[in-house]
Amino acid sequence: MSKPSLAAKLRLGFYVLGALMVVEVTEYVIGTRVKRGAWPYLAILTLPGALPILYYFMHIKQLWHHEE
Amino acid sequence: MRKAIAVVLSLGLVRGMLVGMAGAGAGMGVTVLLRAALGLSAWNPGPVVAIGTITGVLAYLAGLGAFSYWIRWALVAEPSKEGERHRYGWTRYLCVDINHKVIGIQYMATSILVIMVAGALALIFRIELSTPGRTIMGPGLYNRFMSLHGISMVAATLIGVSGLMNYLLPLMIGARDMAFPRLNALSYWLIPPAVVLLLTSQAAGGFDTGWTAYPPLSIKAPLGMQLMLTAFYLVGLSSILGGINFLTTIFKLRAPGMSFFRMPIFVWATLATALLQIVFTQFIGMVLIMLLLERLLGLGFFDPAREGNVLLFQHFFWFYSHPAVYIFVLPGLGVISEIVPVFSRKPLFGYKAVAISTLGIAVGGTMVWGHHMFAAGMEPYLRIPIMMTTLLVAVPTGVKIFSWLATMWMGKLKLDTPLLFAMTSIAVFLVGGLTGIPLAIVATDLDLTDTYWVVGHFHHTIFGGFVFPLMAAIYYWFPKVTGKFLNERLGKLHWGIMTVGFFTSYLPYFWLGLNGMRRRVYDYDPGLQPMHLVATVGGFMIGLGFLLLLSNLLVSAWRGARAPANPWHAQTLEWQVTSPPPEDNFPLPPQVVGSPYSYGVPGSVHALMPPGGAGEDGGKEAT
Amino acid sequence: MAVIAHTAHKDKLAIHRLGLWLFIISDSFLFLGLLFSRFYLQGVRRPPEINQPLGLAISIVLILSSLAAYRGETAAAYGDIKRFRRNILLTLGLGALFLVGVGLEWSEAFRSFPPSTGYGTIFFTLTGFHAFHVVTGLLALTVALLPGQRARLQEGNSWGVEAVVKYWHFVDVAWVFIFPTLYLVS
Repeated sequence: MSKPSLAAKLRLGFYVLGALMVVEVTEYVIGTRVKRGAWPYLAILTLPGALPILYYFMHIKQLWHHEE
Repeated sequence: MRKAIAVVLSLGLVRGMLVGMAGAGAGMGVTVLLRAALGLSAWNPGPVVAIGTITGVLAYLAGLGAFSYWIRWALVAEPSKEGERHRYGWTRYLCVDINHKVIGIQYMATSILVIMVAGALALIFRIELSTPGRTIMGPGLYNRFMSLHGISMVAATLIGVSGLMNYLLPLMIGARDMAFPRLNALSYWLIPPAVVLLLTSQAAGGFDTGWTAYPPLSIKAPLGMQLMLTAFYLVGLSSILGGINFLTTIFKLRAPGMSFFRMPIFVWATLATALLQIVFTQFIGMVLIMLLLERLLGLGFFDPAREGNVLLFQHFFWFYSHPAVYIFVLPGLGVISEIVPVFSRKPLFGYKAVAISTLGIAVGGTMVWGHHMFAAGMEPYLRIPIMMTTLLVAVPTGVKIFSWLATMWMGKLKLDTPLLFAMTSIAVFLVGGLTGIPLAIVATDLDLTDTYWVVGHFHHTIFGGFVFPLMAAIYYWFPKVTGKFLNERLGKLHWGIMTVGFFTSYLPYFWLGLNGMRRRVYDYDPGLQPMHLVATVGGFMIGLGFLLLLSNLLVSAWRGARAPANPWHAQTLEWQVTSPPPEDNFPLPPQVVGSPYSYGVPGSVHALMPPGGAGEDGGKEAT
Repeated sequence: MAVIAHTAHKDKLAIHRLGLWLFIISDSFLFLGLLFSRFYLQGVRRPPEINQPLGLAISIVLILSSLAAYRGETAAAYGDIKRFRRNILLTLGLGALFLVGVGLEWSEAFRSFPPSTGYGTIFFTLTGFHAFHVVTGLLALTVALLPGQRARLQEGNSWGVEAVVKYWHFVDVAWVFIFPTLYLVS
C-alpha cells in the first residue's frame, strides 16, 4: 500500500471539517427551531459528529488493525 | 550520625513527604492570603485545605522524583534514566523504583500495614460492641472508627490486589516488566498520600458516614470527610492508571507462544479486574468530585431543594462499588485457581470455562449495582431485572467453585499451608455466595437490608475472595519473592487460628441479622449480647492470626530455610526463574508451548526456557 | 541490528498507542457519567436564557482547532516541522479562544442560572470538567513544542505529537456530545 501524499492527507482534513460543520449547523438549527422533542434527532446527530473525528483524526482503526 | 541523616534524606519517601508538607503549607497560605485580599473570611477550612491538598500532593510527587523522567523527556531527545535502576538493598523500597517486583512489594507492604491499622480499629469497636450500651467509647467515636475501618479496608484491598497483580503478572506472562514502568511507579506513589490523608482525617474531626459516604450526611460531616474523599480519589486514580498498565501489558507483552488460552487463570483475573478498574473507577472519581463540589462550592447535585437527588449518588456509588467487589475478589479467585492444581497434582478442571467465567463475572457484575438500593426508593422498574442479573452472577462463580472441587477430587493432595488457606477460601467464599442469595431477592432483601446479615455476607465474600487467598498467596509465593520458606508449622497454626476465628466471628452475624441487629449501630437489645461477645472473641482470634503471620514473615525473611527455584514443582513461568527472580525476570523470552496446568500429565511442559536459567526443564512433569 | 532496533521501536509505538487509547476510553466514561447526571436530574429541560449562538461559536472554534491539530500531526509525521509548529501554535490559539468563549458563557450564566441552582449545577460541572480537559490539553500541546519533542521529530519519532493531538481530538469529541446536551435539547 503506497503512502498517500501529505497534500492528500491535508485535503482530507478539510473534507472532514466540512462534514463536521454541516453536522454542527444542522444540530444548531434543530436545537433553535424545534421547540419540543428535539432530543432524539440531536442524539442521532452526535454520531456523524463524533465518528469522523474518531475515524479520520484519531485513527481509531489502530485499535484492531496494525498498519505499517 | 550525619551519614544516617544523609541516607534518610536520600529516601524518596522522606523527601516527598517533606516537600509535600511544604507544598501543602504554601498552598494553604496562599489561599488564606488570597481570600483575605478578596475580602472573604480568611480562614475557611474547606477550600483552604482543598487547595492545600492539591498543592501538597503535587509537591510530594515532584519531591519524590515521580515526574523527573517525564520532565527530562519534555526537554531533551534521549532522556537519561539515571537514578532509576541502580539502587539495591532496602533503600530502593522507599524510593521511586520502576521495577515491577519492587513496586509489587511496596504495594503489599502498604496493604498489610493498612490492614493492620484498620483491623486494630475493628477490634477496638468490637470491644465496644461486646456489651450493650457504653463499654469503652461514646457513640461519636464509635461511628468514626467504624467508618474509618470500612474505608481503610477498602483501600487496603485495592492496594493489595494491585500488589499481587504487579508482582505476578509480568512474571507469569514471561515479560521483563510492565508496559509502562514509570506510570506503574506513579500509580504506587499516589497511595502513601492517600493513607496519610485518611489518617489525618481523624485529626480534622473524622467522618461518621460509614464507608459509603452517602449524602446528605457526607455533605454535613466535618472536615475529615473532605480529606477522606480526596484520599479515596487518589486511590481511585492509582487504580485507573494501574488498570491501563495491566491491560497493555497483557495485550502486548506476552511471551512468544502464550496465546490467550495458555495464560494462567491469575492473568485472566488480572485482565477482568483491569477492565473493571479502567471503566468503573471513573464513576466513583466523578461522584467524589461532585460531593466535594457540593461541599465546597455549594452546587446542588444531591440537594432536593435545588432539584438534586440523593439517589444519583447512590446509583453512581454502587455503579462503581459493586464492580469494585469484583476488583477485590477476582485476583483472589485467580490465586486459588493457581494453587489448587499445584497441590492436587492434577490439571485445573475446565480451564477454558474458568477463564471465561472470570470475564463472565466481570461483565455480569456490571449490571447488578441496583441490588444495593432495593430499599432506597430506587426506580421500581429496575428491581426485577437487577434481581435477575444478580442471581445470574452465581453461574460463573459456581463454575469456579466446581472447578476447584473437581480439581481436588481424587488428586494427590499435599496439605501445605497454601492449599489449606485456599480450601478455607473456597469454604468461606461459598458461604458468602449462598448468603448473598436472600440479599439478591427483592422480597427477602427488604427485610435483611442494613442488618448484620449484610455485614456477615460481605465479610465472607471479602475474606473468602481476598483475605484468605492473600494468605495463601503469601505462603505460596514468599519463597519466590525472598528465596526463603515461611515457617510451615507456624503457618499451619496461623491457618488454624484464623479459620476458626473467622467462623467464630462472622457466623454469629447471620443470626444477629436475622434477629434484627441493624448494621453500623452503636447500641442494641441485651438479648443479642451473647452472640456479639462470640463475634468479638472471634475477631481477636483473627487479629492473633495476623500477628502470627507478621512474626512468620519477619522471622522467615531473616532466617528462613533457603528455597529452591521451584519448591512446589509448579509449571507457570514465575517458577522457572531463580528465587528471588533476576532483576529483568527473563533475560531471554521463554517459548510457551502448552497449558500452564498439566500437572500429573507425564512429560507435559508449559514453556521451554532459554538455556542458562534456573529452571531449564521448564517445570516438566516427571515421566 | 538496525532491523531489531526498528522492530523494538514499532512494538513500543503499538504499546504506547494502546495505553493512550485505554486512557481515552477510561476517561470517556467520566463524561458518560456526567451526561447521565444531566438527564437524570434535569431531563431534557433547558433554561431559555442559555446563549445558543455563543455555544455554536465555541463549538466551531473547537472543531477548527481539531483540524489545525490534525494538520500539525500529519505534518509532523511527514517530517514537515515548520508546518507542524505553525499548526500546533494555531491549535493553541484556538483552544485559548475556546476558553475565552467558555469564560464569557460562564459570566452570563452566573447571572441567569448560578451554580447553586439545579441547571447551573449541571451546566457548570459539565463545562468545568470539559474546560479542565481543555487546559490539560493545551499544556500537553505546549509540551509537544518543547525541545525534547522537536529533537525526536528530527529523528523521525512523532509519537509525542500523535499522543497529545489524539488527546486534543478526544476533548473535541467530548464537546460534540456536551454541546447539544447543554445548549440544544428540548
